Amino acid sequence: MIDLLRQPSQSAPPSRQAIGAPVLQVSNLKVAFDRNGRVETAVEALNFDLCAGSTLAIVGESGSGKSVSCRAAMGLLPANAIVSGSIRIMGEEFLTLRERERQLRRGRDIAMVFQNAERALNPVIPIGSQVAESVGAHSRMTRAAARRRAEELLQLLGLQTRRSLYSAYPHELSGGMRQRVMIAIAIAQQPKILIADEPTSSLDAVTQIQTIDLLLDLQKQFDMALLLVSHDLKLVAQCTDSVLVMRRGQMIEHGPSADVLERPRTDYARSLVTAANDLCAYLQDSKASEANEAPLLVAKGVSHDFVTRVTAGSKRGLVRALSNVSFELKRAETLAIVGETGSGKSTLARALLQLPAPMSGSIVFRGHILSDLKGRRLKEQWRHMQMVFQDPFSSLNPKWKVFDAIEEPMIGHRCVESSLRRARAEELLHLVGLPVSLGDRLPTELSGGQCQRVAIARALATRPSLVICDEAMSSLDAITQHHTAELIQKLRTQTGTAWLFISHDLRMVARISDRTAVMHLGQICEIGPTRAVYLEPRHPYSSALLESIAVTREPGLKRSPRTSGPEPHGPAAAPAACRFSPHCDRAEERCRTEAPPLKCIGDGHFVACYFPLNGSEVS
Amino acid sequence: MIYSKSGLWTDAAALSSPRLELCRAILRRLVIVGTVLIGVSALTFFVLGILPGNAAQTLFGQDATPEQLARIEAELNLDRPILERYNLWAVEALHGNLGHSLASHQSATKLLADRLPVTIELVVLALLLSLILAVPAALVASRWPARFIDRSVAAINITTLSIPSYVFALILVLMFSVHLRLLPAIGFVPLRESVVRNLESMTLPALAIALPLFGLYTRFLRGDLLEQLLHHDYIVAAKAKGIGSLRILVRHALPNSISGLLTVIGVNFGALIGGTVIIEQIFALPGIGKLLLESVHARDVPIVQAIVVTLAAISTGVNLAIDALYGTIDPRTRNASF
Amino acid sequence: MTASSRPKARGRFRWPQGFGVSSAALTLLAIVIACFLWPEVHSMHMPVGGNVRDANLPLLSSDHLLGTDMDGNDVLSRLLYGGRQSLLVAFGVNLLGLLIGGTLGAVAAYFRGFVDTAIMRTIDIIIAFPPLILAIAISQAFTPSTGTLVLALLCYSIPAFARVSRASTLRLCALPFMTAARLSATSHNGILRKHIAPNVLPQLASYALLGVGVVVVLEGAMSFLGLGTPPPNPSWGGMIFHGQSAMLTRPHLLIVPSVMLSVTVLCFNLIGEALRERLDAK
Repeated sequence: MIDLLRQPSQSAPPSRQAIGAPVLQVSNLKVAFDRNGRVETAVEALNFDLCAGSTLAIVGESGSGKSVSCRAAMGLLPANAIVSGSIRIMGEEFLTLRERERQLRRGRDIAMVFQNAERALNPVIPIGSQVAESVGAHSRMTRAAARRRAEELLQLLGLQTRRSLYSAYPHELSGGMRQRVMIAIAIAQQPKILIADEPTSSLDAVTQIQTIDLLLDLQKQFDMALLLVSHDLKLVAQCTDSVLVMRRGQMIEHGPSADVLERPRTDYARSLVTAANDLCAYLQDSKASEANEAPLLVAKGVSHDFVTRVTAGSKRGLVRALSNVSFELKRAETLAIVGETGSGKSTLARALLQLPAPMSGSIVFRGHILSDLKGRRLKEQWRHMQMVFQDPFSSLNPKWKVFDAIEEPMIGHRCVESSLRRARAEELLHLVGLPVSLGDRLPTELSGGQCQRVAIARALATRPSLVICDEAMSSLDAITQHHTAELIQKLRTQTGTAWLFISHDLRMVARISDRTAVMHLGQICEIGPTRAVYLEPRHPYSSALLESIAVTREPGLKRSPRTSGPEPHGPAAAPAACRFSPHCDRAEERCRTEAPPLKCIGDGHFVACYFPLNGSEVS
Repeated sequence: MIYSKSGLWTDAAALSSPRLELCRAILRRLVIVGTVLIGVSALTFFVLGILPGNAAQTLFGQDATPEQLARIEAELNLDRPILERYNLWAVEALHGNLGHSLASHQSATKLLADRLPVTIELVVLALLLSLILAVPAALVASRWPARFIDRSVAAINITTLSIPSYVFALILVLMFSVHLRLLPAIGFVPLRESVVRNLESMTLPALAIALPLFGLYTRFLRGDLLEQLLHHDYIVAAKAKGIGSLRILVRHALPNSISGLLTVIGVNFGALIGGTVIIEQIFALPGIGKLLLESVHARDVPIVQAIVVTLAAISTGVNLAIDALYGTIDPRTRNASF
Repeated sequence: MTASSRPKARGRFRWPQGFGVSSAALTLLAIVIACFLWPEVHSMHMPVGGNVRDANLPLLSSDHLLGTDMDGNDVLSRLLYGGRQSLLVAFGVNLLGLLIGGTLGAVAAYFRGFVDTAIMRTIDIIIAFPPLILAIAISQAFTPSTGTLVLALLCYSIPAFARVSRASTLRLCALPFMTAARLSATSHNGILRKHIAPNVLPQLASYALLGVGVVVVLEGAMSFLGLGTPPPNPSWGGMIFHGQSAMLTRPHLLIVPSVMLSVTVLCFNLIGEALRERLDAK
């Protein structure tokens, strides 16, 4: 039995196993969807073979058709799909089979691990039953036998360590645990082909690494062929035999992983590979800061708690969303606040705007203590502090024209005369690179990127001193993100505004921020010039986070075991302790009782850790 | 320790225990129910008490003698201010005394107690019938979506829910009693006497109320099931295991629809009760609805009051029960503890 | 060897696109014209004050297309005038309910706090009454007339709209553009009028269409029970009631108003549903 709580494996190339006969042969696959008479092609002319015991990764951005291809291989496409071509599973043509026969083969010969385990598990059925259902789907097992086998599977996947999770419900488990349940369901009938559709994209960085390793281990143990689908080329190419790159439904490149990684033949593949490597080139040189200038925004000891929604019979839980957060922002400076979901970044953004005011701590903006201001006074400060939101479509009133949206702050804050408003609005549209003719349109007629630019124009309407971008680019696709990031680069130099970027995408903010702060579960772990934080992270969490996006200085660097398993292995952290200590293997008693303060370790670089990493430490 | 997807929760010992929370929730609900009942009874009282003079006159006609008028006034305490009257009534009500009929002097409580079982039987039968028809229809419709059977079911649904229960009642009587002579049109037989004949006499009334509700429930259920089939990943995941469509519908989709269905039932419960008033009138069933109409026409204010408050209380009680049921049915609202 | 699969064309049954809605709309238009315009244009018998001598004429008599009832009134004209009554009451109640209830709900959801609790508790109390019972109780306090009927039905309609409006506004307030409006220092009044109202109205309108069907049924029920439109004024509910007694000999007296009522409600339901689907899909 595999001990799955051991350290994650090193990123050496997988040992070559005996490659067997092809179990999955796709040739000339074409998938299109009939949307009310209009036919949209999703996949065109896809060809690949997957041999027993080998691993293939399909990589592409969203909309590239990778998920559609996988679902076609299992016959799980919606009713309006038009499929042509050939899919042979174990030598037998799948597409010509009737639904009844396809049903027989699903789960037994070919199985799938879905992307978002929270949505792919039935919320009202205990997970054990769902696994048992998969076990007994095609065999006449008694319920007791199925249950026994299900418990074995849960044990195999490390889910039965402390207590039996058989009758637990999906919402009671963490994301990583749910994903393991999904994997258990998929391997229950020991299929020959296992498809993993973006198995890690909904997980946090720490768990992603474990899950990929787990899949590879199981693949070896059960001698399956693994088809791994992902948008992250770097991540998967390091652990699979061959790679297939897709873009807009077409096969761009296909070959052994090492070849594609080192010698990509097409420009697109090259851009995917180099995007990660050249991150360092994007990093900003830290700006020479004007010394002794009064900072624009000073946050000190900001803390905020939520009392969770109480339902009958549940425990009332206290969520410490922000824990003693302190930082400074100078005029015209750009600060990025990065962290994963649940790190408190959005709460921090809301707290800065006093919506709602944080429970403790002080925020001083332009010399005013914000918590002392109420009503009209606070509104006056909002003139100088604006926000751009995550979802571009719901940040604009769908019934209002673009001009009305941009002019709203001018009207409310009374900072522009009515006769001059339209001219200023046009000027703003020009500033964000949109044609003036868009001003009379409604948001529903615009694309996501365009809406976001309108939102930026609206934020700049009152000439604020600070613009807060709360995950402003997370809902956009890769190309639009790129353009919007360029726009913000331009605006940074043109306007004298300070920008505060909140994001979970470290790659994206690296190129547009002067300084970066890393947050974890409500605490700031590390803050400093972007270059320093990215290239020489000192906090164990920052280091793990940066590794997860495969930002390595040298390729092939051993992954240092900073984290040790999906479950916290130490005693629970007291509320006032370092939030990373349960996962950290450098943690000691002190870390668990008292949160370390931010200590300066270099030029404007602060770390909140009692045992910060030395920059050149490797193992 | 409570663990969630980002480990955001702190120790469970933070604020309180599950038992305390449960007590708090029950207490909160009782307070709300109490407030609603007080409000309901007060509102009824004030509305009905607006024109007290008519009560006496209608009962005894134009020739009401001064003594008779005086007696009514004394019974209803009409000489006291209205707030005091409400107070007196409320205190009596809490003791179980809901007043007396002006005409027959019978205790309102006794009258209600006699008639309530009939109405309850009618409501229960109607609800059962509608669900027995609705669930299979919805399952069949969503098993073969967009085929003929689905379109027919949808068409039947919207037609049945558009036809009011009294129209159904009369059409059913026309068909089954007059032409086919299968079932009796009027004539209620109590359960004690004969179960079969009781059910016979209740079939048409229950069916009349059940048919519009059947349309409503099926339409909701079919929509909910289809929405799950189209948009929810756990259905695709279940299919990927190799399970058949019917099992997916029944084992995976239907349990998720139950709480939605409960909401629809709760929201329309008022219509269910209102329906009994007319239906009891048409089929001459000795239930509360018929009593209400008789009392309204006779201006027997205390009885009307008692009935209205009781029916509102029942409606509130049912909605409360549904709220409580959510807690047991949907595991997400239960204790989260891993 | 290739294989191909199209969406299962065989067995797929589709009414022509929008069949339900357009035929519903046309039928409704026909009914409205019949009830409101036709009697003005074409001279008809009066719906009341008939001569007892003409009582009980059968279907398709000369001069009385649908015959006469037991008081000698022309059934067709009672049908059309009754329809006018039912539709007017239904429209009126829903319009007022939308305006008053919609505003109350939006205000409650926007300001939250005490205002919200006060409004919602009051609504909870009123909603605790089954609609028909409530209407009966209220109309009992007054002598039956169209005005009291409208009042009684409003007591159901206003809270119903308030609830929908509140839920809709709550969802709206969670959206980012509302935060942006606050950051733009727009006044409360401005936000309610310019942000909330345009976004909540479409949903209220579709709810109102469904509500017309509901009120037509309720009005029919009240008239059936003798608590609605006072006789001898015609109304569909009253006609159905009287049709009961003639069920054996002259069933058309029962069937015709029943069908009219049901078809009208069906049309409103079809259109209201289609509108709601349109809005949900956005």
